[in-house]
Parts: sequence; C-alpha cells; structure tokens
Amino acid sequence: MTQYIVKKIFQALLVLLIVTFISYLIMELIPGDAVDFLLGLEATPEKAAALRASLNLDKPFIVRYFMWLGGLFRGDMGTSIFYNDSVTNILVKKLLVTFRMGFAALIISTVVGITLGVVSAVNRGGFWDNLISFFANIGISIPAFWLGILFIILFAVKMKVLPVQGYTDPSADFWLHTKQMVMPVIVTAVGALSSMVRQTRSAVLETISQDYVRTAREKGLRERAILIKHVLRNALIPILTLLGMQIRVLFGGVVIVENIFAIPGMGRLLVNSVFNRDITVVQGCILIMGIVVIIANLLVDVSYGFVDPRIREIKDVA
Amino acid sequence: MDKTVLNVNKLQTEFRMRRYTVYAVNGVSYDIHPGEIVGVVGESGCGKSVSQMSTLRLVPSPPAHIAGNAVYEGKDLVDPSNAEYLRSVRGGKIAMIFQEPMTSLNPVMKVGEQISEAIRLHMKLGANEARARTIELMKKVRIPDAEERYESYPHEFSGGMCQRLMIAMAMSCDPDLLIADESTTALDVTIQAQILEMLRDVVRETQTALLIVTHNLGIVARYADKIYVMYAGSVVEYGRAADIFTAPSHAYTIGLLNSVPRLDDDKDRMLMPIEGFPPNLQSRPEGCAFSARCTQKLPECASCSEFPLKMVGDGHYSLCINDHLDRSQRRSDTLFEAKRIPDETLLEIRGLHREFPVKKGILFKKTVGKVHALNDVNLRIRRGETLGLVGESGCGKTTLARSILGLISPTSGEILYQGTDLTKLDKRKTREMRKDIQLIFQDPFASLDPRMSIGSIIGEPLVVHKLTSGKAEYLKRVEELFIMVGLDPSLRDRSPHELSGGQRQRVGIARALASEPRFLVCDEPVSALDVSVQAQILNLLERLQRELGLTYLFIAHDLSVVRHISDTIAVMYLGRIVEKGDWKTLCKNPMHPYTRALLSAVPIPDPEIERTRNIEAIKGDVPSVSRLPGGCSFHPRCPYASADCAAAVPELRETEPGHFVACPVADAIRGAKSQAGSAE
Ligand SMILES: Nc1ncnc2c1ncn2[C@@H]1O[C@H](COP(=O)(O)OP(=O)(O)OP(=O)(O)O)[C@@H](O)[C@H]1O
Ligand code: SF4
Ligand code: SF4
Ligand SMILES: [Mg+2]
Repeated sequence: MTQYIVKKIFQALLVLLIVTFISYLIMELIPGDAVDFLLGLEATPEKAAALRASLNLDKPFIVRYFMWLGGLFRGDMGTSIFYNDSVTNILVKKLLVTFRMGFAALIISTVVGITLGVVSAVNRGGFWDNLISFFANIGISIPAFWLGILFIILFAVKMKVLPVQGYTDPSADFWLHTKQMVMPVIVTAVGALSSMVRQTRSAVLETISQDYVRTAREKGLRERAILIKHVLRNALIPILTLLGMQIRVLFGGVVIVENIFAIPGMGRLLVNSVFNRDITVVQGCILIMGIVVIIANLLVDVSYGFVDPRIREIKDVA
Repeated sequence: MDKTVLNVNKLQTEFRMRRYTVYAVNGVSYDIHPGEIVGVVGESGCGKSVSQMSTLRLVPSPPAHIAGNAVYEGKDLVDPSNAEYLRSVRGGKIAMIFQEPMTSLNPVMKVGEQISEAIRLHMKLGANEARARTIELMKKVRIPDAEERYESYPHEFSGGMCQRLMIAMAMSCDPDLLIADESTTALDVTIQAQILEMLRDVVRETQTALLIVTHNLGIVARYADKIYVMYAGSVVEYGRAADIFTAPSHAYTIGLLNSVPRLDDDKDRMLMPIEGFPPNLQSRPEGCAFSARCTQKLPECASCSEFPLKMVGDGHYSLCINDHLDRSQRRSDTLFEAKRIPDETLLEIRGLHREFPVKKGILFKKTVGKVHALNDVNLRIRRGETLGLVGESGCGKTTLARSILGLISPTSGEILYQGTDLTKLDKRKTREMRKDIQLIFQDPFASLDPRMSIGSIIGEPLVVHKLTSGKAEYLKRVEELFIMVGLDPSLRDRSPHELSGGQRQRVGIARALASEPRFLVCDEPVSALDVSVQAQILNLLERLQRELGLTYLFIAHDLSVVRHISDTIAVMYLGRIVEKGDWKTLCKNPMHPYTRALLSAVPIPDPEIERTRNIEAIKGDVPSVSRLPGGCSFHPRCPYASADCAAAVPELRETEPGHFVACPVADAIRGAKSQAGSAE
C-alpha cells in the first residue's frame, strides 16, 4: 500500500509539473505583459526595457519557467510584480478564505447529496424520488453565475434578508460573516450536490438489485439493516470516485462565485492576476489548487482500499 | 412422515408490468416433510424459482402479486399481515441457497461476518458465540482453516467454496427447510457432485427437509425422494422419484425424458426433442398448457377446460388426461445410419502450447506470472468425424478453439489443416481459411448483432467472401440456409432479440454454414439452451454433418452431451489432454482417474441406476491455472496419487489401440477396481 501511494504521489508531481508549465506557456502567449500594466501611459520604450530587465522579463520564456521552478525548491514562490509582496504571503491570506468556503460547500454537497440520493433510490418512482430527481436535474444544468445573480436579486435586493456581497473576517463579526457566506456557499454547492444526488441514486439502485442483497433479505434482515450494512458500503465506490472529481469542480465554482460576491479569495486573486499579467501569482494559485486536488484524490484512492477489499489486494500487488 | 414442514396451496404469482402481465405461477401446491428431499424440475422460465421465492415473498412486489398460501407452523407466510413473522422465519427456519454463489455474497464484508449476521439475528446469540458457531459451521462444510478464513472476503474463495459458505449460512440457524435453487448449476460437475453429496449428508443427519430446484433430471434422479414436474407455471405431474422415471404419466415428462442424452445410452440414440418452445406466459394458459407441443394430444385435450390432478398411482398425480400415453418412445432408437469415417486426417494439432501472462495493477500493469492454458496438446481429427473435447471450466477448451480459428496465436506448436500450418499463415490467407473453418458460439444472445435482421446476419459471410453473384442468387442461398437449419424463411426480417434461444442458435449455425465450410468448431453450442431445445440443436448438427460431410470439433463441459454426439473424445484437465479414445472405449473403459471422476460425477436420469452407482467423488477444487501443481496436475485431487505423481508429468501413452492415457498407474487402478467390483 505505501509503495502504491509513493507511486501515486510521484505521478501526481509529474502532472503538476506539466500543468504549471502549460499555464506558464498560456500566460506567455496572451499578448501584453506586467510591464505594460505597471507603466500604463507613462511607458516609453527605454523605461519599459529597463523595467523588463530588472524583472528578468527580457529572458527567454523557458529560462524564466525554470527560474521559477528553481525558486520553488528553495521554498520561494516568487514575488508579485503587481502587489510587490512575496506570493507566499499573498496566498496564505486568500487561501484561508477560499478554503473555508470550499470546505463548507463540499461538506454540504456530500452529506445532503448522499442523503437525498439514498432517499430517492429507496423510494424509486415515488413522490420523493420524482421531486428530488427533478431538482437534481435542474441543479446540474444551471450555471453558477446565473444562479448567483438570481440569488442576489431574490434574497438581497428583493427580500433584503442577506447582504448583497462582500466579505468580513469571522474574527471581526462572526454573524455578518455567516450571513455573507450563505449565498456563496450554496451557489458553489448546488452543482456538486446535484451530481452527488444522481450518482448516489444510481449507485444505490444498482446495488439493490445485486444477488447479495437478495441474500441479505433472505437472511431475514430488516430493510434498514440491509441498506446500511450491505447496500451503502457497496455503493460507496462510485460515490467516492465522484467525490474525487467534485474537488476540481468546486474550485471551478469558487473562482466564479468569489467574483460574483466580491469575496477576496484565491479565485478572485487568480482572475485579477491574469488580467494584471502577474505571472508569479497565477502560477502560485494554480500550484496550490493542483496540490489540493492531488491530495484529495490520494485520500479518495486510499479510502477505496478501506471500502473494498478487492481493490486493496490489487494495490498490494501493484 | 405425517408432519409437514411447509404446505403450499394454490400459489399464484403474476408480474403486472406496465404493458403486459406475466403469469409466472398458476396454482402450485406442494408439501414437504422433515428429512425429505424434494426435486422440482422443469425448463427455464416455467416458474420454478418464482414459486419458491413467492412462498418467502422474495419476489419484488410490485410488480409481483401473490395469491394462495404457504403454511409454516400454522401461519400463512404469503399473508402480508404476517410480514414480521415471515422475516423471523426467512434465513432462520426456512433458508435458501441460490444459483450464483460468487455474486450471492457481499464482496465487501468478511464471509464469517456474513454468516454470523444471520446467527445473531435469529438465534439471539452474542458476537463471540455467533463467531464460534460460524467457525464450526464452516468446518462442517469443509472449509479448510476455518478460523483464519473467517476473516476472508468472498473473492478469495473459488465458486465451489462460496457455495459451501452459502450452505453454511443457510444451515446456520438449524433450518427446518432448505431450498436450493439451481445451487450447483454454475459449478463444474466434479464440484457439483461434491456439494450435492455433502448437502444430502447434512440434511439426512439433521432431518432437515431439502427442496432442490433444478433443470437437471439426473440430479433429481440421484437425490430426490419426491419429484414435482413444472410446466408453464403449473405442477403438471408429481410423485415418488422412482415412479416419475419408470412410469411418467404426463406427455411433457415423457418428452423431457426423451430429449436428454444420457451417459448410459447403450446405442447412438437419436434424441427426441420436444418441438416448439415453451409459452411466454403473457396470457394465462387455458386448458392444457402443453397441448401446443404435445405429440400425444387427444381430441378431448382441446375442448376440455378443466384439468384436475388425477391420481395415476400411489402418491403419483398428473394433469394429463390421456390415460394411454405412449411411454415406449423413451428408449426408441431412431438410429442414424452408422457413420463411416475414412482414415484421412483433416486437422492435426502437434505440441501446441499457449501461455498467457498474468497482469496485475491499475496503471502500470506488471506481469506477475503466467497461465499455461494449453500445454503440449496433440490431437488428430479425421474427415467427417466429431471430436468431443470435455473438461471443466478454465481447462483451456476455448483457448484451443480460438487457436484453431487463428484468433489467438499459440506460443509454440503446429496446427495442420489439410497439411498447411495455420499458425504460419499471413492475415490474408487466414481470412481465406476462415471460409473453410467456422465457429459456432456458446451464447447465441451475445454473438448476434442486435441491430441486424437475421436474414442479413446469415447472408453476411456470403457478402464478405463474395460467394454469390447478384441479388437473386444471394436471396436464394439465404433461403436455402434458413431451410437447412429448420428456420422459417419468413422470419428473415426479424431481429435476433425477437427469437428464442434455440432459434438464435440456429441462426448462428446457418451463418457458420453460409461459406460452405468443411470444419466447424462448436464451442459449448448447447450449454445455454434448455434440454428440449438442446436436443433439437444436437439432432440438427448430426443431420447437417451427414448431409454436408462436415467435421466437428465439439467442445462442452457436459459429458453426456459430448458422449452423445462424438466419435472420438478427448478429456482435458488444466491445459493438458489426459485421456483420449473413441467414445465407446472411453466411456465404457475410462482409465484416467480424472475421467473416471468426471463420469461418475455426471448423474444419470434414472433413479434405479443412480441408487446402485458408486460415486468416485474427488476432493478439492480445480486449482488455478496460474499455479499449476507440478508433475501430474491432477495429483492434489487424485485419490491414487503417489509421491511419483508430483515429480514428473506423465506421458500420454497408448494402452490399447487408439486409447491414450496420461497416467502411469491407470491400468493398475482399473484392475484393482474391477476386481473389487467382481468380488462384491
Ligand atoms: N421480476 C420479474 N418481473 C417480471 N417477470 C418475471 C420476474 N421474475 C421472473 N419473471 C418471469 O416469471 C416466469 C418464471 O420465471 P422463473 O424464474 O420462476 O423460471 P424458472 O423456472 O426458475 O427458470 P430457470 O430454470 O431459468 O431458473 C418467467 O416468464 C420470467 O420471465
Ligand atoms: S392433456 Fe392432452 S395435450 Fe396435454 S399433455 Fe396430456 S395428452 Fe398432451
Ligand atoms: S499420475 Fe498419479 S496423480 Fe496423476 S492421475 Fe495418475 S495416479 Fe493420479
Ligand atoms: Mg430459476
């Protein structure tokens, strides 16, 4: 098992290298660079050239990428040209904001999603199933930004129960913080929750028709015991797979939601930095998101083994 | 025997689907006494399983609607108001064992836990006591190292062992009644014999009633005291086992007995299939459900509306109103004219080996071992003969078939077809050769493209090999093929799913015949079919062989089928041929201990013979081909094994003209056995 994990981590690092390289390349290919933004109208060719030289921007792209990479190994993520501060400092502040929100959305979508999925499957074809499936289908197809705007209009502008946007640190005003976070968290969670409902429902339905569930019923177990001991654990594998993917999806959602609700998190930082051509910050964001996704997937991978002994065995051999 | 364990009365189950209703069970009554073994037989879809599951309300409801009653200890289990009581009976006093042992156990739960779960529930024992009892039960069903194996998961067991675990689970709360629904059908014959012998011993010892549901007449002949024959959702005849076999009193029972090939047929008997197919039960059968297929119909059969159970003997009842049924047909031998096989080699296999690497891992596949699927196989097939190849699952039969067809290339060895080595042909030549060598598949469902009409399926090879010129000739040839295999040409526009299993297999045969091949490889061609339909297909294959001068390699796991159709038989075990010879010698005078075990494991549908037969049960499971035992691969299971056997691979040697055996002590064993036999 440890050998398997080591191998997985190694693969993940490789992927990370490729992803950061590609994002560097993309930033390079977008016209304009940080200097154009910093100097704005004052730009003269001489000034620009001098600044570029001082920021190493005159070096070839590939050299700069490896300089950045070399910095990473020394624990240095580089300096933001725009904020004139170390990227590590900038990210740490934003990270906490984003994580708090993403984590809340993840917990809600998973717990509520699995519960509704099970309810739906158990009452297959019944009233609750139809109702839940109906909303799950809407939830999957609705774009986050549209839902966000809808929420703002409804709850903030019309009903005035929640603040329109903004962010307050929980240590400053916890109640306000909570109220401000309600809409963003829900909007982030809706898509993930809906796919979780659908995945759980189909996994449970699939499992219910298996022979061993018939055996369990034949043993005289109560339906609830069958559901918990025999059905859910077997249905967990496809659910876990989805969970691994959800993390990525949630990050995508966070970027949009932070921008709609003006939340100073990593998503907002990423978008602003792309506009500012602040390449080190962009790379930093991508790196952190990549690492989180990798860790999440590793956790999912390891937990497969706990759920299914057959997978455990295969991994021991590999 | 006055106390009944379960009394089922006028049970009816129908599945009310959205667009139609399936009348699966139509008034089934039976009762079963302590210590009694009852057999329920009938063809697929006749309602055997549904009637058993209905008594325990295990059918999904809705769509199922159940009527009638099933009385256990004075309470009706079918009555929904007794649901709570039923749950306490299920798995406790009445337990069921199902067909697919591998999928019937929860893959993510320790097997010991799964057994003790039922014990804790029904016997109200604590965790430790339940564990102790579980281990005791696992020992009883002969699971080696029961203590350690308690912690194992189902995938760590073979099919036979899973089934033994299921039996342990079913026996765990001292049931009064055990229902075994096709519980050995998916297993190899030697394992099937082991399990059934064990099951019988266990129920005899504990006075448990056992209900065996099966389509295998041999099994009920060997084990059952009483037999119920089902057709189209009704019990059409029942009585003591001996009476059912010696004096069958329903035309369907007689038909069934006539259509099975038997190991003890003394001649090349032509099977007597029941023509037509069982009804689909989408309307409630009126009058005699069998009348559409019955060859002994009376004029009254059509007009009569009431078919009451009528007593035909002591405890022997039948629904058939014909009092003068012709039973003589059973043994009538519509002999084919004896085949004359010239001594001319059509196909010769020399020293064929095939190894498969065993790969494990998810992303980086790593070779962790190899499977020796074919190990020095030598065979000769003469023009016009049928070579039967038997062996248990995983012994390499299909690998051999696929090698001959050029679908996989052997690791080493030669396959000479009329002198040309097929393994050395290039792609184009192989394709050309495929015109001459065709395959008939096991599963007629999976092998036909569901989007094509059966006319174009059959005609496809004509187009591929450009065998006809012009539309008219094509259509004529397709029609010819339809008629050749006994299919109505008007079915040509149907798609495969609109046909029955037997019809589909005919389509498969017609397609194989389209390119006028000389050699047909039949890989388990009848194992997915019901006995009455199986007989139709076997007869068809025999007829076609005579008419078209075909040569067959006939692969099957069912020795009685192979024996029926083959001129020469080769027995395979773990990739090696262990014995071969002409069918008569091999079946009358089996030499290799494995062949002997195989033959004795196959039950014969005749209680008289079964009672006097002595079963050479062999122990243990078929080992995995990836961990072949050294020396004679059979030695871990062989009752005659000595130290030498593990040391060297025995050579295939000729013990009498044309009879080859791969066991050095075979003659001695046989000698000792027949002496013991004559001394008795
Ligand atoms: N859940 C279900 N819904 C609808 N029809 C069903 C269902 N289960 C069984 N049937 C139908 O009931 C009939 C009897 O089925 P059953 O399984 O009892 O046959 P069987 O005699 O056990 O056959 P086999 O030998 O193949 O096991 C069949 O026509 C089948 O299609
Ligand atoms: S009742 Fe008539 S139709 Fe039915 S099986 Fe008997 S003879 Fe045949
Ligand atoms: S060689 Fe030995 S182990 Fe093999 S079949 Fe003969 S007696 Fe049995
Ligand atoms: Mg069945």
